[in-house]
Formats: sequence, C-alpha cells, structure tokens
Amino acid sequence: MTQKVIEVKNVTKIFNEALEKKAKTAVSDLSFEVESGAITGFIGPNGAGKTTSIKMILGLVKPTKGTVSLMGMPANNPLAREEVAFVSEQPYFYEHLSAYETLKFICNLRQFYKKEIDYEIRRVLDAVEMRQHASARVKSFSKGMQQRLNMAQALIGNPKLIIMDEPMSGMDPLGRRLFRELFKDLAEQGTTIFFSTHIVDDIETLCDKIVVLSKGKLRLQGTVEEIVKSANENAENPLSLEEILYAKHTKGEEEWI
Amino acid sequence: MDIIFTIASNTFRETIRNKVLYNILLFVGIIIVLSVSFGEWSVFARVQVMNDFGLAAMSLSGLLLAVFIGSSLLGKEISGKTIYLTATKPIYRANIIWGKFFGVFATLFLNFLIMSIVFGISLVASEGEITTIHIKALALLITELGVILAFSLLFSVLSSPTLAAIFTIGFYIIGHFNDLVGIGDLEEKAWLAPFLYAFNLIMPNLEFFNIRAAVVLGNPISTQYVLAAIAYGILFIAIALSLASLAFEKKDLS
Repeated sequence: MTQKVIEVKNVTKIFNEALEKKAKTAVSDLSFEVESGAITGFIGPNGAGKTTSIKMILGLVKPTKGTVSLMGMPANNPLAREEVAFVSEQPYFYEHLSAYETLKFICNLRQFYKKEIDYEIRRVLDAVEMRQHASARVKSFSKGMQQRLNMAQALIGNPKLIIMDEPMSGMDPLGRRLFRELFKDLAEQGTTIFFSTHIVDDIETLCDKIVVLSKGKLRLQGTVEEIVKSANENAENPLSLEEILYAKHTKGEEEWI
Repeated sequence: MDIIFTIASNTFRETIRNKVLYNILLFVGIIIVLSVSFGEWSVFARVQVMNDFGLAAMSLSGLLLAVFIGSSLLGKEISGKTIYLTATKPIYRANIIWGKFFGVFATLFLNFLIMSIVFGISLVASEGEITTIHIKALALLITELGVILAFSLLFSVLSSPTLAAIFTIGFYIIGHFNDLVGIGDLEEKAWLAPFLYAFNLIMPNLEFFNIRAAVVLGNPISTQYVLAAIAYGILFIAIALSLASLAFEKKDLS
C-alpha cells in the first residue's frame, strides 16, 4: 500500500519578506505529493525553486505560507527525518575528517550501536565503491569522490526516503552510471527516491513520476507516460519529454529548461 | 546526550586545529614571560606582579579565543553548508547549539589548562607558590569564559559572525561594569537605581568572576563564594544557550 511520504500544500516562500525591496518569492502556492515506493523526479530550470522546496521539505527553511509534511509529520519535526536521508548538490564535509570518520560521525548522529558501526560503514562504502578510500581525508577527494561519499552517508541506516538535490551534477560518466544503478536497486528494495534535476535524460530513464517546477510554480505532475501521451494527443510527429518541455519554452508558454 | 557528545567531540577536533589557537597561546606565553621580566624590574613584589599579569593575560587570551571561535563557528557551518550534515538528521537543533558549546568549551579548557601549567611553572620558578586561591581564581576565570562563549554563540545565531564578535566584546566590557548598582543608592543618583537594578538582574555581572585583586593582595576568598559564583555562571550559560536554541530552531538554514 502506498503512502504519502511528502505532502506540500499551498506553499509559498518569500525570502527577506520584511524588506520590501529585497523580498524575493522563491516558491509560490506550490502543492504536490510524493508517494512511497516510487522514484519521483523534481525537474525545472536553474532558479525554479527546486532547492528551496527541498529545504522546506527537510525542515531547513520554513515556508512563509502553507504546510509541508514529511513521513506524515510536520517537516520541522526532527522525528519526521528518522528514516529520511538527504544528498545535497554540493557535497559539504568537515575537512578535518577522513571518509571513515565522516561516516562514523553520521552513524553516531543516527545513534547506531558501537558494534554495528564498522559493518554499516563498510556496507555503504561498498555500495559507492569507495572502500579503498576510507582512511583518506575528505579534502583530498575530487568532486566525484565527495559526491559518492555524500551518497554513502545518505545510505546509512537504510532510509525509507532519500531526497536528493541534483545528485549527479559534476560526476563523471562512471559515477553517473553507478548512481543510476544504485537508484534502481534502492527502488527495487522499496526505498522512495525524490530527486531534483534539470537533466531530462535522467528523468526519462529513472523516474516513475515527475513534478515540474518553473519560476517557483508547479507546471506539471504525473507519470512520464501520462505527460508524453497528453502532449502528443492528435500530434502527427510524437515528441519526447525533452522536446515537449523545450517546445513549450520556444512557444513562450513557459520557461522550462 | 549521545548526540550532544558526538557534535561536541567533532567540534573539539575541528577547533583544536584552528591556527588562531596557537597564535593566542603564543601570545599568552609571551605575556607570561613578560610578567616575569616586569616582576624583576618592579618596585612591588615580583610574585604579586606576576599574579596580576599572568591572570590578566589568561583572561584576555581566553576572551579572544571565546570571541574568535564562538562567534564564527556557527556562521562558518551555515555558510559552508556543513550544517546540512547534522541539521538534516533526526535531531533537535538545540543539540547542535549545546554540542557546539561543549566542543568549544573543551578546547578553551584545554588551552586554559596549558596556560595554567605555564603560569604555575613561571610562578614557582620566581619563588612564588601556588595556593588554593590560585585554583579558585582559575575556576572562576574558566566559568567566566563559559559565560562569554555561551553569549557569543547566542549572538552568532542572531547576527553575522563579525557583529557577533563585536557584541561579545561589548558584552564583556558591559559585564565588567555591571556592579554599579550601589551608585543608585547615592541620593543625587537615586533615579538611576531601578535601571541599574534591572540591568544587574538581566546582564551577568562578570566582576563576580574576577578575584585577581584578592590573589595579588593575598586576601582570602571563601569556597562558598566560589561555588555560588560558578552556579551563577552556569545559570547564565543555561539561559544564553536556551535562548540560542530557540532562535536557532526558527532560523532558516538556506
């Protein structure tokens, strides 16, 4: 049975609301839901409001209006994040720690028993093919390696929901392929994945559902098939998802990509 | 509690590598050596001058450490986005504040311990002696640093690192002039009395932690006074950290 793991209802976020001239609406009256067990893509151009929305879902940023719930609880309730993990676009780590120490820190934050920590670290390092770099300092890692470590820290404790903000940006083809395989494996095991991207190819190959955002507003949501089918109704030359989004952009209907 | 300890130990490891610490330790070393030299030149008793300079140097260096680390640590975590590693986990943000406090306090304590040992050695080498009043003075100094650090963290949640550093230094200065309540008792200044009493209640009186004059002059200080002053310090640490936790809970981490 599917459950709503993320519910965003009529959410608006205005930064610097008190300063009229500097006020900036990042998200406007946004509503969407993410159901458990699916890979949902959150797509939109740069500046569409994807990262702000993700931060509101994680309780890092509070909405100006509307409500956000995560795993059935208000997003700012820490208990809502019990089985939720986050992968940020840029990996942010403490430079004084090694990969092993970083993961141990996360295990401790997730209150693992001491005897379980080594096994868990080995498990997640293997998943991202990084075990040989366990003792190396994070600051010596390339962007791709840091992103793999970022994914490893998210896998700790087998979360039911993984939220990712452009997880494959800056990765080489091998890393991208590894991540795609990993996403598929996780989905098969029942993990819900919600990730933002502006790469349509990732959406087409991975996602069960998509939520399309532009200029802080919801533009489309549904399965890739539904969106493609509805756009191609009565069309002589059927278009791909990328072409549909691009066609809308060139027609001046919306700025998608 | 485990989470606070995890954050505290990570913060300790992070801050102990901060080069500012070594510079300040060097500064203290120089000051203590200078105090020995001043003692040689002084017409006053050498040990008295050393006590005065040594304790003042330790207080000042502790203040600098608390200001530099306390006011920038949280801002650095937010601007460097490493805060996402902790804030996206199932933990209350108050744990982050308390963990940061204990981590930095452990660093301050370690530095203070090193400085105390250097100070003690230089005192003994100058034919002075370490008495219980020295221990009491050091206990009060480290409590004062705890209070300054807690307020520095509070200011850093409410403002930028630069402003937090300025506010903390202002807090230190005002805190040391917070024993002027008696002025209101003077007839011509009676109108000041309610303001001074209110101010005295709200702001911690940092002069409670300063028994340098007693150390220099050899006046006794009761253990009860020291324990009461430490309890007073802990109360203000708890107030500052609770306010910081409340403010941090409402802060957008964008």
